[in-house]
Amino acid sequence: MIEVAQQVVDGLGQGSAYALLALGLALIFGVMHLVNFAHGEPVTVAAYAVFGLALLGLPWWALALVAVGAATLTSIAIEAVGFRRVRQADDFTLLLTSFGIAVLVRAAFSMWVSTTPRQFRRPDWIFDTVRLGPLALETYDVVVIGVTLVTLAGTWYLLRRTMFGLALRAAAEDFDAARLMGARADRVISGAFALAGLLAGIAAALILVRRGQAEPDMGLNILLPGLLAAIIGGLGRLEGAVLGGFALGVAESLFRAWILPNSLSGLTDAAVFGLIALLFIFRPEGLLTSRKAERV
Amino acid sequence: MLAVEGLTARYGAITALRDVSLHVDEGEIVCLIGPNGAGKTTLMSSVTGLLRPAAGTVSYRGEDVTRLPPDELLRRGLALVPERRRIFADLTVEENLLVAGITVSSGDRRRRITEVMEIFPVLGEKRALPAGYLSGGQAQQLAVARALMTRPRLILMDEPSLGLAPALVKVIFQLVARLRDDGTTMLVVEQNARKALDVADRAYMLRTGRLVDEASQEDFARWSDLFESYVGG
Repeated sequence: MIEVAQQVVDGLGQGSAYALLALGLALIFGVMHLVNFAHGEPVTVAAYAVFGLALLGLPWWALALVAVGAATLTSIAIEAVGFRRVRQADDFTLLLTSFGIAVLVRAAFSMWVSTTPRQFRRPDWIFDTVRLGPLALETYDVVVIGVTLVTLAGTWYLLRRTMFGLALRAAAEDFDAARLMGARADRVISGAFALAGLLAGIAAALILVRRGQAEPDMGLNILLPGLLAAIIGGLGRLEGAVLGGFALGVAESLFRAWILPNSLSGLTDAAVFGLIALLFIFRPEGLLTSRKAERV
Repeated sequence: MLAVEGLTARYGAITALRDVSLHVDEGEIVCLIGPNGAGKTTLMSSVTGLLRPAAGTVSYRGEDVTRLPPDELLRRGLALVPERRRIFADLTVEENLLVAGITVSSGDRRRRITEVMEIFPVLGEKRALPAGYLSGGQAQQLAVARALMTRPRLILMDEPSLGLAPALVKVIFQLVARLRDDGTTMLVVEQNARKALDVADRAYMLRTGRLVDEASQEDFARWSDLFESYVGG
């Protein structure tokens, strides 16, 4: 029982990054109907920014702030440079544009920085454990889950209690109607990318503290589970995306450590994908069914 | 106050509006009637900047506003109550009103929510309910209330009586008359032509994308036969 509880905590820690990525993807999908395949790139840029500034000897907490700032700015820049001009185009053009941006960023880092991972120093506390009754938890997992919960609470507040958040939610439901109410299209979309970038930056900081390296494929590698989580949750449903992220993390953790015998642990991904396939057979709209779908 | 000159609008290869010219003077209620597919909603979308017209101009208070986005027009005092209401179903009634007041200061926003809830008491009762749960009549009241949040000079209403019970249709048109008395100018699109003409000062008739007739109050009687034939009165 204790072992299961520890694996669940481990899974929630892993799922935190997925949830933050998925939430950003859902926000962008909401206002633009775009599955943004470039949403991993702010994480890549954050990783290299951290690598570069780590050489100057900045402390880990300053590097974490660098990661958040770099990802936010990257996301805003991707929208302003990449998407603004094609915003009126059809969904397929937008999708291809997002692929193009992702490929471009990866290629740029491969050509001009390095194709191999670049290491930087990690803080010492990530190897500590804390005891919580019978549970021995990694300090890292506790920090990750704590930071993620605070971030999600802040995002919830922003979306529910500020005019920016209201405009974002209104635009996600009916973009033209939101414009008729006076919401500025540029600002809403730019704001959605900024918020999504901020969330990706926090995820990046949490990952980088542990991993201590930057590589060109980093964004892509984290984008895929994030995207999966967003789809599991019912694409565009914000709460669903968060739930999908945590569910995916816990499922991975349980399969790897507990359900599958050691000799089969290499099949973790296959087992998790099988589970997702089952989910979509029984709930094609994802975990959280959209109220809109019910009304039809 | 509003002048449309030679407006032509297309959806791909389909021309939905052909060379339409009309005007709305300050303090008037002008009614635009016509059967389904006549281009009434296309005209509303073109005037409010949701749709870029292929040709022609829209001027508002003496300025060319043809290429301006909807939010800018709203800031200048032109509001639209869109067809099928388009309320935000996942937002509460109060949040719908807050969003509609995004262009005014936060103090005014609060004051005006109180004002519109006095006009439509049911919105006050349901303020915390997601707007998707409102009945058709309540949702229409919310749609009109949203437009009132900015105290617009000119309100465009697209089918305000659509799907409403007769008693509510009456309430909506009473409100239209009252808004006019308060100095608001209105362009009302209606299939419910008789009700609309009761309050209108002038009217235009649109059919298959063209203006086919124009009438002032004295001429409305002349249109009665037409309603029987295709508008469906």
